[in-house]
Amino acid sequence: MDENFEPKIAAFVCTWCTYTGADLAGTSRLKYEPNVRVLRLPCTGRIDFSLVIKAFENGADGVLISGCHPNDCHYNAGNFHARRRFAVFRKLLEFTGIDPNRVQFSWVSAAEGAKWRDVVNAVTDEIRKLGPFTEYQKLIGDSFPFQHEASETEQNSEKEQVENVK
Amino acid sequence: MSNDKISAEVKKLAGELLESGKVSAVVGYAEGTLKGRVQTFIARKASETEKFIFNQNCANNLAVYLTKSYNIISAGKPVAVFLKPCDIKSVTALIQEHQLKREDIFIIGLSCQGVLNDSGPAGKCRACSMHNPQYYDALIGGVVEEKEPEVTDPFARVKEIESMTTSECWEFWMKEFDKCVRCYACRQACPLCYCEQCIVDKTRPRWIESSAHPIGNLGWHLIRAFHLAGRCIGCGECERVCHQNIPLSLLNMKMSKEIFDLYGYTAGMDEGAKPPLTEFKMEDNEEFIR
Amino acid sequence: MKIYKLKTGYTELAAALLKKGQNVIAPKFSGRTLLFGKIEKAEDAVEPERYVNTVRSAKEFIFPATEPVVEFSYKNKDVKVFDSLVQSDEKIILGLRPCDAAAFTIIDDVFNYEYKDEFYAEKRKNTTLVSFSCEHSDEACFCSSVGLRPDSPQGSDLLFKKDVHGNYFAYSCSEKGEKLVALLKEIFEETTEDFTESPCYEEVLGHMRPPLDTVRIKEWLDKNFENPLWDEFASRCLGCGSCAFLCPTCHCFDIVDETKYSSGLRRKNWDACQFPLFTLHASGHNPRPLQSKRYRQRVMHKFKYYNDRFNKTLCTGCGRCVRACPVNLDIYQVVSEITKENSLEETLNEQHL
Repeated sequence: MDENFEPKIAAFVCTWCTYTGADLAGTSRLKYEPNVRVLRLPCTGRIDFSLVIKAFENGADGVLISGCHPNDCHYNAGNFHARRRFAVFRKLLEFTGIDPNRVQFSWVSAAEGAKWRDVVNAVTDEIRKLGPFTEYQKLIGDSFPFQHEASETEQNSEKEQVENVK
Repeated sequence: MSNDKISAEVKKLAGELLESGKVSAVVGYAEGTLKGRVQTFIARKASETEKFIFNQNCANNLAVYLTKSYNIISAGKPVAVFLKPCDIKSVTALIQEHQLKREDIFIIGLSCQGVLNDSGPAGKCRACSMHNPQYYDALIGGVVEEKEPEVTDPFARVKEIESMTTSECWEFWMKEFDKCVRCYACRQACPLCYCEQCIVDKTRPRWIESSAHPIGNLGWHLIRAFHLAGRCIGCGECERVCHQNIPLSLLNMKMSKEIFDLYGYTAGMDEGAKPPLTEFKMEDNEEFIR
Repeated sequence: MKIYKLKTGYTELAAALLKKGQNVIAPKFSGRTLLFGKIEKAEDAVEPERYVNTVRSAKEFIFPATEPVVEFSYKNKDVKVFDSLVQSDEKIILGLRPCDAAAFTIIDDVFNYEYKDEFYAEKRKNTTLVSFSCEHSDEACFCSSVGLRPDSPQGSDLLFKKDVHGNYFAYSCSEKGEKLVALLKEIFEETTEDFTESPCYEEVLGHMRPPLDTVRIKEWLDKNFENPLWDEFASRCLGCGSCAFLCPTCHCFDIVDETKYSSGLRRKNWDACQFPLFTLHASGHNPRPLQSKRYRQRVMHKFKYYNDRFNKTLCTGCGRCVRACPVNLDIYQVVSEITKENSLEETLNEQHL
């Protein structure tokens, strides 16, 4: 495995708790691993498992799903529904040969900037240990046999993005 | 009771129902054109009921014809349908999900000794412990003796896969999904896949690629299995109709197993029950959440 | 047509081809499913006497289930579009049945009609079809009903038949066939003597379903675009694509664009007229809103429209749709009923006269 491997993690978060919590981590100047790409949704109840599949289809090595603690949901029960759904979905992933540790869950409230930092660090660490999701990335390559050089590979576009940020 | 006798009973009852005007149509089985295969048949006139039969080749789950797209149920008069005990579970599920009204159908329950597939008794029948219909409006074949199933653990096949390592599972399923040509016979034969527009047919946005490439196939089979989680009653039609022999019901069985372990729920048993993924309990398992 | 005697059996033939570095496609088991696939070891190729036919036809090697036709990439406002390269290695499809080989001669017409489909043409040109006459058939086979036989040479480059002793004899039907024989000259020898053909082919023919009167069928279809029979036939159709996707002559496709990162592919994917989406317009209107209309399209296309345009029936009687249909909606039975209906109408007309 590449020693310098840095996982790409898609973080689907609810806007009311975790997104605000992540914001708090930022305003509190807490440093954490830069591997997560935060995607904001109204509620964990809205996080369709198809989004998880989409994330993998677009080259994610791991997925983090995070929302309000039980009983804190802005919509009362969204997170309870999500909890059931993902408890079952994890089992399906495991059954089809996808390491369930690639899909992680957490409850992070708007006040828990520090917890968000810890969660991200821990999840990044775990997925880094799992290594790149080569199995899925091979499927992407097999499904999209680009023939022309100019067709951008993921790495190129990633590199550019990083340079743009710099 | 012999097949001939049952078939005679089936014809007689269907004829009477249509003759008396009690029902507008009868959905049943007729002789097929291949050995071991039967046709589904919808009779609207008493004169057509001669065609009906029932035997061990009648594997089709006719509940699929009760879904809205077939438009068989018209207001006013019920439709009679031949249902085996396991098929009745899908009717229960359809009623539970408000897709069907009990009064719109006349259930001709068939006591069942199991059906055959190409290589002998169907897998679901070996583990079946329900040989008599749960409820019905008329019963054909009398009450048969309930016997211990040949296979005591219905999840034995699932457990076999579970015992494999992650990469072995991946390998196994990739090989199976690779055969998929996306004909959607699994979806069309399923009584519970009644969505007016399937997610795979949605193009704005395109959730799952419709191409039969590895990404599209994996996406489709994951989504199909998960959309049936806690709803699939295990009639096994998806696997039966798959000409590529992809063991689709394994995925559904896995979901049923997890739903049962986590929430103690079995689909298709109680039309008043709430499907497990539409409700929750405060104390639900959350070990996997940080 | 030259005749050659094969000095070896089937497996040795496959082995000889592999040894010459050929790309060999032949029926092999994928789990429990017999499918055409690339052969790595000669032993993987299942001998023709062990199967009636494969689950899927061989059309996927010339008209794949999904195939890129255009490639594009975009960066900000800079969009680049490329034609996908027509990629086709030389390949040999071994162990075909005559019905599948004949299917290519039928769909050649449509892929070269007005517009020449270069993706199809290139692969077709580079593929050698090696068929084996049928020693068995099953209840679903009906090639003799649509003008073929268990040993028809149509479409084959090389057609094998057995003699009474079980030796293989090859009829070379084309240049490609000759080329293949020349490549393997050590296992073939030219023969002029008439060998005694195994009686199995005539036996198979005897077991087939009775012939269909395709002229009658077309006559009826010409007159009966609207007929209550369509509702009756299609009332039990589930609307899946099993029949079309397994059919060696069904050739309809869909065009979709798929993107990945900042590039994408326009693809040509198999499609089936039994899907409501097949004819759905962008406006939301669907000219074939009911299954009866979609099923009618299938029968009409096979026995009338294709006939009108190319003077051929779009069916080779391979029986795959019959075997695979979840509800046993048997096209042979449907068109037989049509023939009956047609004769009935005629009798009635005569009586009126």
